[in-house]
Amino acid sequence: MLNEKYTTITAIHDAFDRKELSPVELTRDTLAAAKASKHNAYLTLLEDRAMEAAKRADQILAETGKVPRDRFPLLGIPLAIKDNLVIDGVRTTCASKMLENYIPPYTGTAVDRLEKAGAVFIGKTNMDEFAMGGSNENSAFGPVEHPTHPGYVPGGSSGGSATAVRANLCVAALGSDTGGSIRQPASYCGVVGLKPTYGRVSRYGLVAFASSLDQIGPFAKNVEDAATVLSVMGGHDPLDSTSSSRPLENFVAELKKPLDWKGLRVGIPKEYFIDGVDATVAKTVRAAIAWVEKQGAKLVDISLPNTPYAVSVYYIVAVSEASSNLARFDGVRFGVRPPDAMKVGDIADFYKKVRANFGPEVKRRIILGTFALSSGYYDAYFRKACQVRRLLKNDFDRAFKDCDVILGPIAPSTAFKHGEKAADPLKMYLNDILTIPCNLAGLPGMSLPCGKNEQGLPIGLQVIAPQFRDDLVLRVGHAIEKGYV
Amino acid sequence: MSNSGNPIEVNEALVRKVADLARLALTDAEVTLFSTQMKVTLGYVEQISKATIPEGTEPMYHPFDMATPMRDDTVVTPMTTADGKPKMIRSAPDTLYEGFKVPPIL
Repeated sequence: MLNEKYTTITAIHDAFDRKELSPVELTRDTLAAAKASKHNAYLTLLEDRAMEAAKRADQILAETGKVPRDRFPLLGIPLAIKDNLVIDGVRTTCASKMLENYIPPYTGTAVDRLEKAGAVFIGKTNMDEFAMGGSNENSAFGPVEHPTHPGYVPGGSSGGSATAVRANLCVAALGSDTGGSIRQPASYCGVVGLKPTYGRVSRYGLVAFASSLDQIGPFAKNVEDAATVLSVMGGHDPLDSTSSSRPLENFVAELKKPLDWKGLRVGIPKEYFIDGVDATVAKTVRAAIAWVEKQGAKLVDISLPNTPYAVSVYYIVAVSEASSNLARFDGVRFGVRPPDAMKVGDIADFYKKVRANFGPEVKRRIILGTFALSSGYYDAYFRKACQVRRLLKNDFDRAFKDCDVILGPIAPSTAFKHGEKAADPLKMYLNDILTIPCNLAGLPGMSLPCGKNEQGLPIGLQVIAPQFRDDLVLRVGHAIEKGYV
Repeated sequence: MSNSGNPIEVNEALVRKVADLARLALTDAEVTLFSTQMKVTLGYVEQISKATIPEGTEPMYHPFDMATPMRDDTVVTPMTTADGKPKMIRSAPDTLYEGFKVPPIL
């Protein structure tokens, strides 16, 4: 199958140039693989749309001879899109019964930019319902299977995208990361996953979970492909007032600059190697860090003392924002309206009938968020959590005076088995402790595969940099990938 | 705990009250399960009360201390389908006269 032979953007474009592969051939094989797959990674396959896009790419190639990389940096590249990103006329479910039949009337900015760059969308990927979860077991349409280890979870919430990339059911994919939902599944599945700086990618067209934390980012086979996707979809968008107007770097060009290891100060936070972190994970990550030191980088011991509060802050802030954001699913503008919903005594009854379509984890979080925002508890929970959020941000600001980047693990453990944590929400929440801080502080963070445990399950190295130093995250990750991985 | 510092008791009555505020209908089994789980989760998140928060620490509601950007107040064409109908209501649960059909409230 061609999708297994040609797996990166560079390799595919080179093959297009040599005429040994065409966009239509690659798309056909990728669609066939996605259809035959038992991973449940896709919720919707876009066969017709993908073939049309591939044919357009074939035509462009016939006219230009070689891939016009400047105009179409993603020409003929099969991509997957998480099912909380809207595409005009394409069912977008957020893996929820609530949006089972929702056909959005517009295309989100990030997705639109990818399509204009020549990308071919294979389908919409499975996820935890409304991006709430870390195992992909919360999908209303069934869990996603780990790409290499049956019986294990792929991580979440963007587990379908991570699995699709690892299993060659696409070349790269989009996910969203609110508390680790790109980086953690990337780590579990052994692919690259990048959460850009908050505001670097427009959120227009991303179904909101927690608006001050959500960010769209790429999954890819390598750092260069992630840089290509970010370069295409990033940058200011008048349709998202929180998108940054800072000029967007050409991240691919940035990767070509040699990294001055000797001038690089690498912070190692002691709080990221606490007792709860699995010994093999810690050892593997430390081995990668030792290699970085061997290249000449200066290791700096740093402290992020408020890290132990990160999960608490997140599970107040994120659920509060979610309880507010998900109020829009009212059965009038959005949502499924049950047949008997109009026969009600009052409006509250109507809403309750409609909102019965939410799954258990979504209900749990709406209840927690509504509680945290309610009269009598707001100051003790929401306001205080936001104060501690500032302390967490201050920790990073202080640390980045002594170092340029931070390295550490992504998650305390490797992928776990289906059902292992499903009955204990808090246990699942605590698994996010090392990814949440980036979201709370708005920082860029990336997961880079750096080894495997005894069972062969992948382990991710986390690279974190100050806000808007996505270039540094990518350059350091790229250098480690080239020399170490 | 509450704003006044009093400990709160997470029980089924509290879960029912909050679910009502959130317009969620829960089954009895869900109320029992959620109240147990909420007790555990709130018991954990209450550790933020142990954080040392210096006097005058402003709450951080957003990653950037940015002001809301303003744009010109210009009329734009609404999204319409090929036959000129408003696109925004295309996927509404129910429509009437090219508008959202709302439930009766009287």
